[in-house]
Amino acid sequence: MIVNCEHGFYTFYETDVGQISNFILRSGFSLFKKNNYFVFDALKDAEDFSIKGLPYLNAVSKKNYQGKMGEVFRSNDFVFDFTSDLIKDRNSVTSFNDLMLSGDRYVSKGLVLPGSFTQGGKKVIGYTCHVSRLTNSFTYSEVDFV
Amino acid sequence: MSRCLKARLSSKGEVIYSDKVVSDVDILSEGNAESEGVLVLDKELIFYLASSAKDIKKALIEVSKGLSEISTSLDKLDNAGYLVGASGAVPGPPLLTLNINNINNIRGKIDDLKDALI
Repeated sequence: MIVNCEHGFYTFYETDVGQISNFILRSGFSLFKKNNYFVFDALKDAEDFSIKGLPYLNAVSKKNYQGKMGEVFRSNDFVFDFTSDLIKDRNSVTSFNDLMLSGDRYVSKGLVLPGSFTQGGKKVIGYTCHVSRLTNSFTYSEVDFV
Repeated sequence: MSRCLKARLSSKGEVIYSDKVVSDVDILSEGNAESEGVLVLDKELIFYLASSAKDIKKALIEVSKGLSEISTSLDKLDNAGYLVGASGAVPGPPLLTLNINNINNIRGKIDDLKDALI
């Protein structure tokens, strides 16, 4: 399974049968199917536009913007915090993650919260994560920092 | 892909979407009267376009009324014989029947256009 996190908005892609259901069972997350991918259930009604001052799910939009979901999140400094099921301001996330460089890739014990910092102090804003249900490993082929 | 959302312009010149005021919007319409229209969003661009159908309909109603007034007046004058230099108590025959009919036909077409607008 591949997890794309673009500026705090996630999409989950199944690369083999049963990966999503297995991930849901193990993680406890609620996912919702959209076209050929899944999103967090709390983001299933997220619009591809934001209007300054108007509600955007649990948050308030800072900018007028229309485009891809990740772009909407970027322009508003939003990130989705899957630990609380809430959209948060990217700058309000001050926690640290366990992302570590391992050879030519990054690894962690779970999904990295966008907006969080690596032990080296770099703020993560997006990534492509490969989740293996066999080894229960989280391998990151791409990580974007601020 | 851009998005079009149903919106309106208030008498205060504020763009309203979903009962809330939208800020930083370019209003691409003449005048600042109340209107209904659409909010168009595309990346950072956001603008409001008023629907001109209601304004056009109002204009067509006034044009139709004007043509009706012209037609009625000409008809009265024509049948009174003033336009043919009538003398004495005998008015001249109507000479403008065809022209008056043309005016009425045009008015009919304008009314059709008006009725076709929402």
